[in-house]
Amino acid sequence: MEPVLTCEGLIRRFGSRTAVDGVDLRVEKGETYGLLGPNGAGKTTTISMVAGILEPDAGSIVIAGRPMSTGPSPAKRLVGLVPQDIALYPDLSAEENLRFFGRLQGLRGRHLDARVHAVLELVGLSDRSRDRIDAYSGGMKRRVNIAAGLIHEPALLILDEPTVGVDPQSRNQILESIEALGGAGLSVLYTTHYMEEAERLCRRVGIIDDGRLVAEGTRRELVAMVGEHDRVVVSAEGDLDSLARAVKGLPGALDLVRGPDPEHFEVTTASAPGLLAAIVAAAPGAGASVTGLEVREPDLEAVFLHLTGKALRD
Amino acid sequence: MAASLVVAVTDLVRRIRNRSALIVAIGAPVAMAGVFGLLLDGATSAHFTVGVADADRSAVSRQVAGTLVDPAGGSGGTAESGADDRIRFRTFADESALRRAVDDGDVDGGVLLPDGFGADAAAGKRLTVVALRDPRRAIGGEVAAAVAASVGHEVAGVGLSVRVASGLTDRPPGELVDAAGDRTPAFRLDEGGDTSRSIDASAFFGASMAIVFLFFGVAYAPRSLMKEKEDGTLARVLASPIAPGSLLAGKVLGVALLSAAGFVVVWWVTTAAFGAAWGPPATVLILIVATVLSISGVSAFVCGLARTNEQADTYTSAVTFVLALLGGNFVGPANAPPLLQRLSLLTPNGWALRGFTAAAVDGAAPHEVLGAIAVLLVVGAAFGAAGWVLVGRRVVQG
Ligand SMILES: Nc1ncnc2c1ncn2[C@@H]1O[C@H](COP(=O)(O)OP(=O)(O)OP(=O)(O)O)[C@@H](O)[C@H]1O
Ligand SMILES: [Mg+2]
Repeated sequence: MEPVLTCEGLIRRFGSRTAVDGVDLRVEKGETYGLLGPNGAGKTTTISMVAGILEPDAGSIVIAGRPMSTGPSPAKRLVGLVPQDIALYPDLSAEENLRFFGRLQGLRGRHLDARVHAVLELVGLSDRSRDRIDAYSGGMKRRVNIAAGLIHEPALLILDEPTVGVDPQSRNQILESIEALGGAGLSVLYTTHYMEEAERLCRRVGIIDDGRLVAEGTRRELVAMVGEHDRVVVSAEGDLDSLARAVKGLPGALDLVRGPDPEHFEVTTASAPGLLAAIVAAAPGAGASVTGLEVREPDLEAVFLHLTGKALRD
Repeated sequence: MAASLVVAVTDLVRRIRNRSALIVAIGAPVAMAGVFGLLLDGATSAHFTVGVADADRSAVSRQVAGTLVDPAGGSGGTAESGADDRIRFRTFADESALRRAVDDGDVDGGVLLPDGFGADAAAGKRLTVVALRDPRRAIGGEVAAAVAASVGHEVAGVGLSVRVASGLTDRPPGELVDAAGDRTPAFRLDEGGDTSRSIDASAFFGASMAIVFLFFGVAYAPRSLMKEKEDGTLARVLASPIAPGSLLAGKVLGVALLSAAGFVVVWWVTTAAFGAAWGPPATVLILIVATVLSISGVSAFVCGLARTNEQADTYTSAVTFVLALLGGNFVGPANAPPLLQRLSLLTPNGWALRGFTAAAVDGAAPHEVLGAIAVLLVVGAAFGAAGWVLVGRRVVQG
C-alpha cells in the first residue's frame, strides 16, 4: 500500500545554519509515527516543510501520491496541521474558528456544519463551542487547536508537541484522543521531546538530532541498538568532574553523559550490579561521595544518549 | 477568490466585534469631517480682511479694485452678486505694502491685480489675480486661499462687467454675467512665481484629509498579517490549499472596504453638513474607488516587505509620511513649491488630489479625470502584484 507520507532528502538552511539536514521519512497508512528530538533538533522545521508552509532547499515530499508544495497544492487537503503554538483567533469562538479554517479547506454548507459538530464532539467541547477562545483554559485551547487540524478529515494529522505546557490531566486527555484517532485508522506524525509520549503513542519512532535522523524503528528495534544496556544515574557531592573521569575509566562503563544538573551524571553499562560497587569504591579517591545510585531499564532516552552522547532533555 | 472573501469577511467580523470597524468607517471620518467643517465654518463666519493692491493701474484694474472695496459705489453694480459682507477689503498703495500687511498678519490675505490685468481684460484673456498668503500659517493660508478664491469669483464677474462697461464687448451685459456665474470659479492662484493652479479650498481639504486617513486605514493590512504570523495563525492558514497571495488579497480587501466606507462618509458629511462642493458625484465616486484601490495596492506591497510587526509599522508610517508629503496632502497644491508640485505626480495620492480638485473646481465628468484614474489603477495594480509576489516569496523563505 502507498505510504501516506514519503519524504526524501529534506534539507533546509536558515542562513549558515542547517536546521534540517537530509531527512527521509515514511509514514504508512494508519500508523502513528513519532519524531523524537531535543529542542532545536529540527522537528518543527521538518513538519513545516511536510505541511507545505516552508519551502525545502532540497528534497521531495509526497502525500498519498501527491507532491506537496508551498502553493495552493491539493496535497494540503490531505494534511491536517496542529502547530506547536495555539493557532486560533482569540476573539472568535471555537465554532467560528473551526468554520473559518474549514472554509479555507474548501468545506461548505451542511458538510461544514457536520464537521464542526463532529470535531467539537471529539475534543469534548461541544457545550462551550460558542465561547470565545480567549475565555478558554490552556488545555481547552490545545484541544480546539487539535480540532482545527482535523476539520477537513485529513489523511495525515501532524501534531507538533501538542502537550507542551499542559497540565497532566489535559495532557492525558490529549494523548487519549490521539490514541483514539490512531485506533480509528488515521495516520499521525507526532513530534515530541518527551520519550514517554513517543513510547506510548507511536509504533515507529524516528530520532532526530541536529537536523539529522539518527535512528528509526520500533521501540524494540531501537532499544536493541543500544544492546541490553542499563543506565545508572549517579548522584554525588564533591568533585564530580574527577568522579566522572574515574567512572568512565571503570571496566563495564560505556557512555557517560553529564546533564545540566551539576549533581548527577549518567553512565550506560552492560552489567549494572558490578558497576555500582565499583563507582562507590572509586568515589573517595576522586574526592567525591556518592549520595545516590539509580538503575534504569533501557528506553528511548538511553537510545538517544547512546546515539548522540546527549540527554534528550536539557 | 473564494478564500480571499472568507478571509475578508472574517476580518471584518472580528473588527466589527472589537469596534475598530466602526471607528475606521464611521467614527473617525465623522469626527474628521466635523473638524474640517468647523475649520471652513470658522473661515466664513469670522470677519476677514483682504488687502487689495492694484499694480496695473489701468482704468480697468482701478475699477475692479474700487468695486471690491466699495461695491455700492462701483460701476455696474454686479460686485455684490454673492459677495460676503463678512469679508472686508482694504486698499493698499502698492504690491510691497500689501505683502508687508500679509506678512505682518494685518490682513488675512491679499489680492493683487498684477501688471497687465487691464490689457488681459481688454483682450478677453483669462484673468490672473495674485493671492498673497502667509506661508507660515498653513491652515490660515488655506482659509485665506478660500477667501481669495471667492474674491477671484467676484473678479471674474467684475472683469466681465468692466468689459461691458468699457464697451469692449458687444454682448448684452446680463448674458456675460450669467456666463461668468455659470463657470465654476476658475481662479488662477499665482504664488508670484512660475506656478499657477486652480484650487477650491473646501474640496481640496476634504479629499486631502480623507486620503491621509485612507493611508492609516489600509495600514491595518500589514499589521494584521504580521499579527497572524506572530500569533501562529498564519501557519495554519498557509497549511490550507490557498495561495499566500489570496490571504493577502483577503486582508487588503477587508481594509479597503472599510476605508472606502470611511472616505464616502467624509464626502457625505462634509457635503451634507457643511456644504462642501466635491463636484459631480459620479466623478467623486469613481475617484474614491480608484484611490482606495491604489492605496490598497501600496499597502499590499508593504505587506510583502515587512517581516515583523515593527517593520510593518515603520514601513507604513514612512510610506504614509513620504507619500502624503510629496503628494501635497499636508501643504496643499497652492502652497507647494514648483518642485513639490512636480514630485506630487510621482505619488498616487498626488494624482488622486488632482482628480478630486478637477472634480471640485472644474466640475470634471468621469471621462475628464481618466488620466488620474488610469494612473491610480496602474499604481494599485503594480504595487498589488509586487505585494502578491513578495508575500509568496517571504513564505517560501520562511
Ligand atoms: N525561521 C527561522 N530562522 C532562523 N533559524 C531558524 C528558523 N526556524 C528554525 N530555526 C533554527 O533551526 C533549528 C531547528 O529549529 P526547529 O524549530 O525546527 O527545532 P525543534 O526541533 O522544533 O525545536 P523545539 O523542540 O524547541 O520546538 C534551530 O536551531 C532554530 O534556531
Ligand atoms: Mg518545534
